[in-house]
Parts: sequence; structure tokens; C-alpha cells
Amino acid sequence: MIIKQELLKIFRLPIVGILLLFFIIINGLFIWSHSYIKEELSVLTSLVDKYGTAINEEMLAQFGGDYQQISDWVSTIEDLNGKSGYEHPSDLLADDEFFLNPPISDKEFNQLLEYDLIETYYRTAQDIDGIYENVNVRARAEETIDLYGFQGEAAETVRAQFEKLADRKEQLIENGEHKHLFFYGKIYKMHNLLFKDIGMILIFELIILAVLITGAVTNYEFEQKTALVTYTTKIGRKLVIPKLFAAITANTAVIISLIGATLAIYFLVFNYSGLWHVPISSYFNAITDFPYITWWNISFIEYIGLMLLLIYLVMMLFSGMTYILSIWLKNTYLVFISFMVILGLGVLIPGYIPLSTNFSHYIHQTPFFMILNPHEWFMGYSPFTISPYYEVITISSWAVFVAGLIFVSIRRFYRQALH
Amino acid sequence: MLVIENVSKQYGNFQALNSIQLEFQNGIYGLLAPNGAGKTTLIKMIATLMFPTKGEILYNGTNIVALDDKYRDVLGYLPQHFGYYKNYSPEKYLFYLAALKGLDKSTAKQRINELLTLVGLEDVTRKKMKKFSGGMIQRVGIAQEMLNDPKVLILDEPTAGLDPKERARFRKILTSLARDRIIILSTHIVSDVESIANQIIMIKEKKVLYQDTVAHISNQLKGMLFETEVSLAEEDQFRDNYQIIGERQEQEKLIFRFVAEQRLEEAWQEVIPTLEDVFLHVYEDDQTLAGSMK
Ligand SMILES: Nc1ncnc2c1ncn2[C@@H]1O[C@H](COP(=O)(O)OP(=O)(O)OP(=O)(O)O)[C@@H](O)[C@H]1O
Ligand SMILES: [Mg+2]
Repeated sequence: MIIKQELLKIFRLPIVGILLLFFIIINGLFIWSHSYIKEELSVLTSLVDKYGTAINEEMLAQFGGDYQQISDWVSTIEDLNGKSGYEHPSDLLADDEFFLNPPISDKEFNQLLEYDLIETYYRTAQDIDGIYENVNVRARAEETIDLYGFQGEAAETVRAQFEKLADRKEQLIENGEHKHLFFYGKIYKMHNLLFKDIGMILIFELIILAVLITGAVTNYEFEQKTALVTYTTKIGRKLVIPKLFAAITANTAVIISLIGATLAIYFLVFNYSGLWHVPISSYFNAITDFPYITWWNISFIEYIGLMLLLIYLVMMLFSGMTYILSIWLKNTYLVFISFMVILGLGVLIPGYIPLSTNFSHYIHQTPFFMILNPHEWFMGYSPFTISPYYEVITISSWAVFVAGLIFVSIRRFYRQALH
Repeated sequence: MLVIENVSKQYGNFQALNSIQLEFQNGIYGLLAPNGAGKTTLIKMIATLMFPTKGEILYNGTNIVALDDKYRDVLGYLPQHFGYYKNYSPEKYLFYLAALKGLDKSTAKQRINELLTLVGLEDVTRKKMKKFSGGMIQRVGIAQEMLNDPKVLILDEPTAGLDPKERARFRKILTSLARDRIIILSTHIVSDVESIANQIIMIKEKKVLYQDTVAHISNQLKGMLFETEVSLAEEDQFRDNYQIIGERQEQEKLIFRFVAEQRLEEAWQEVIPTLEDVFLHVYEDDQTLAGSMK
């Protein structure tokens, strides 16, 4: 009953609805601005329709047979100088004589461009084994250590983690997780689009909403000048507890709505049919020569689930921090500014810690740093977040910390003079 | 019974109240003191919003802080600045507060109807409060504090900003509520409490000066209060010699109401002192009084 009343206070705030709608529109526009690659992406989904995602000998034989036909057709086409006999679409397209004045119809030319993409998928699929043989995790460790300038104990920690990653790479090769068709990362960067760009946008939008909602409902009585009345009723200052639950409920609803709407738009624009169960560690996801390697065999759809879970938990932590600030400051503007300052410090301070002791690793185990690279969650990639349990440790230790502070703050609120 | 037991309150280095000792039985108590005397400070401590620096407040023998929600369950409080949700109707706001006071829905509904009728707001129960006058808001405030049928009802300057008609209505409502409970009403306006309070409490220099009936307090000035005509020529000297409590002009003459140890001149008319006279006399040299009297 009281929680319901507190929830009504939140949802009657025009700013919540307006921001939510505004963010959905922004995200929709952002997704739409990438929709021009849709056509090209469908080349891959058609391939997956035909051959499935798993790259193995049987699949390569079938794929190769079809590719031979493309190759045959390409070899018949002459450029203006009468040169012909190219083996691959890309060879033909690299011939300037041909490219500038293609002696074929527009339709055929478009067909050729599509074949060029198919070639990329086919030849990359063939090369994966070789590529992974050349992925040197230990060398990557040393490069990373040099690049960041780790020293002593901190460098050892990085080395040890990459050592684990080297084992994981062997295991991954055995499973064949890397050998699955997916949108070609080096061209389309779809993993980064969804998990880094959209993931980050979502996180920052949700932070704004979570801080506003939690601050507004917790400070409501002080800002409406009703504190003296409400906090002297029978429930009294314990009213801050239903307020906390109302904030959690409202934040949950907002998180579900914003992420739900954004992902709905995303998957309406981009067709992922046949790709839901492709492992995130697929080589095609890689955007650099060092591929993404998740610590466990996680499929695309599972990764989305984990991302949602982590975003939710991080938002609960941020909501909890906002709640604590509200109990002390009693003013939503102050709370908002303070939270942003804390967030900024949380992001910046770790950068000033010397990289010689393990403290430099611990100081990165904060939700503030964690939200900066959502596309690297559960992966061995960057040195500060490389540990398999980075996310679990960060969330659980901060949950204990924030819960403790909430408890202390409520206790202090009970004993505080209210004006 | 409510007992203020040797309570002092300090704001940092500033002492607002010093060793306050008071006892309240059922009835209306007028807490009468000028601005800044510490009325709100005392009331906020009784309302558990602030805590004494020294001493304690006991309800039926137990510290009110220890009683916690059992005490707040019998408490009704109207703050000096009564806050409300501007977009709510009185009915909706009272429903919310009734929930906070632990009333179930059907009891709340009935109470809210009764109370809004009692305070004369039955026609606007569903109107948004942002359109209400100060008097109407104050009446919502009274309805609000009566929701839980409190045994301790405190009102901090409830008449501030009300016109004389609203004030009279307000006194009537309060008198009708006065049975079986302690009502503490703070004000710096004598007429608010003179006719309805069983006892008057005056605070001066951070301490309780009087806790007594209106008659007893008024008697303090018995035989010391006079009126006389003074010509304009004598005016200045007269002002220097005596404490003037009131004055009015009749034709060419001034009529002064003033305090003196005893009757010194035939022309002086002894008058019966009122509570107002004592109030003006007591706080005559009080800095905080300046500018507060109407
Ligand atoms: N929170 C506070 N911090 C410091 N000093 C305060 C605080 N609240 C009140 N005071 C001071 O304590 C004294 C008593 O204030 P209080 O509000 O209790 O007086 P009051 O009798 O209610 O006055 P008024 O009739 O103007 O409402 C004043 O001097 C005031 O400045
Ligand atoms: Mg006051």
C-alpha cells in the first residue's frame, strides 16, 4: 500500500516519462543510423540458412562447391582490355580497368559485390585454424604489459591471467567455439555496436534515470516540505524503507522498458536469425588480430542475458548509492551532482594509481570502471578486467559495501534532527 | 501524561532552551511567547523531530524516543509550515497520511469524511490543494493531525496567516476536540489562546516563566496597572518614567495604559489586567519582541 503510493509519486514525475521516451527515440535513431549495413548483413544470414553456423569439413566442402560456381563465373568476365580469368570476386574488383567501366549490367555488378562478401566469409572460414595458431596469448601479455607500463607484482598478475587465457584458448580450439559463422567483425563490428556502443548508451541513460528516480522518491518529503508531517506519523522515519523498495521497483520497470524497447528496435532492424546460438568467441566477432575469448562457452543469446543481468545489478548498486546520498543530502539536485562527481572520480582515480602493485588492479574493481567496457564482460581482453571473475567479484563486493552503507545511513537517519 | 523533564536544547554553541520543566494533563495548553523564544524548538522535540541535548520527554512515564511508534501512534502534529502535495486533493493526501499512520482503508475513509466535514472542507475534498487559501490548507492540517485520534495534539502557530474569521472558527474547532487529550498550541498572539486554554505557558530567556491559568497569570499585574490621561506636553516625560503597555488618543489628550509599583496619583484609574497586559509587560525589554506585535 505505502510502496504503491511511493511508486505513484515517481511515475507522476513528468521527467521520468519524458526522459524514457526521449532515450528510446535517441536509441532508435542511433540504431537506425547503422541500418544501411542491413543489406550486406543479410548475405551472412543467407549463408547461415544454407550451411548452418558451424564451420567444419563437411560445411566447407558444401560451401566450397557453391563458391566454385562463383569462381567459375568470375573467371569468364573480361575487363575492357580483354583481361579475364580472375579466380576470386575480389581480384576482379581490384582490377581498375574493370572496376571503373564494368562491362556487365548493374544487376550483375551488384551480384558481384555480394559474391565479394561471400568470398570474404568463405576464405576467412578456411583461414581460421591458421589464424588461431598464430594467436600468441603470451606475447599479447607482454605487449599489454609494455603498452600500459605494468611493473613488478602488477605485471605478474597480468601475466598470470594471460597464462590462464592461453589454456582457455586451447580449450576453445578443441571445442571449435571460434569456428562459427557470424557477421564479419572487422567490417561491421556488430559485437561492438550492440554491446559497446548501445550497451554504454543504455548504461548512461539508465544511470540518469536511476539517480533521478531514487533521489526523487527518497527526497520527496523534504522537497515537498512534508517531511515534518510524514516522518512523525506512526511509521515515521521507517518510511525510508518502503521508499527504497519503491525506488528498486521503479528502476526495474524503467530498466526493462528502456532495454526492452531498444533491443526490440535493434532486432527489428538487424536480422539475427540463425545466429542466436553462435558463441561470442567466434573468430568472426574479432575486430583486431587478437580475438574475443570469453572465459566460458557463451552464446550470443546467453551473452545478451548476462549483459542484461549485469546492467541490472550495476543499476541496483547505483540506485543504492543514490539512496545513501539522498539520505544524507536530502536534495535531488545535490544528489545528482554528487553522484556524477563520484562516478567521474570512480572512472578517473584508477588511472592515477601506479601500475606496480596489485592495488592498481583492485582499484579497477568498481562498478564505475566496469561499465566502461560492457563488450568485454566475461572475456580475457583488457588487463584490468581480464580475470574470469572480475564481474562477479566487483558486483558482489560492492553489493556488500553498498548494503552496509545503506544500513548505516538508515540508522543515522533514525537519530537525526529533521528540520 | 506528558512530562518535559529538565530539557535543554543546544544548536551548536547556541542555547535555545534551558532546563525546561513542564507537565501536561488532558486539556488545552497555550504556549505563548514572542518570535524566536524557542516554541518551535520545544514542539519539535515533543514531535520527536529533534532530540533534547539534556533531559528527556516522558509519555506516561516512558521516554518518547524509546516508545517509538507507540508514541507516534498517539501523536498528532501540525508543523509551523504545513507541507502538502500541491497536486493532491485533501482526500488523497489524507488517505496517504492515514496509511502512514497505520489506519486500514475503511477506517481511514470514514475518518477522512468526518474530519473534512468537521473542518468545513466537505465541498472540496477532491479539489487539488494548490488552489486552496492559507486558511483551507491549515484546516487540512488540522484534519490530518486528527486522523489517528491522537492523545497528544500539538500545533505550532496554527493561526499564522489566518484572518480573524478563520481564527475564530479555528478556536471553535479546537475546543470541540479538547476532551480526552493533551492539546499544545504555540502562538505569539494572545487572543488565540486567552479564551480557550486551560493553562498558559510562557517562555522567557530560554526558561519557563509561567505555567498557570489565564486568571492567575493576569493577576500578576493586579494593583499595578493603571490608565490615565496625559497632555501632549507631559507625554515625553511620562514615557520615560513608566512602562507603557497601551495608548490611545481621545481628542487632544493621550490615554496611556501603564505599569507602576503603586498608585501615585488620584487621576490614575486602576484597571483589571488581562493576559495581553502581562504578555506585553513580561516581554517589554525582550529583544525578540521587536516588530512581532500587531
Ligand atoms: N536549526 C537551528 N539551528 C540553529 N539555530 C536555530 C535552529 N532552529 C532555531 N534556531 C534558533 O533557536 C531560537 C529559537 O527558535 P524557534 O524556532 O524555536 O523559535 P520560535 O519561538 O518558534 O519562533 P517563531 O515564533 O519565529 O516561530 C532562535 O533564536 C533560532 O534562531
Ligand atoms: Mg516557531
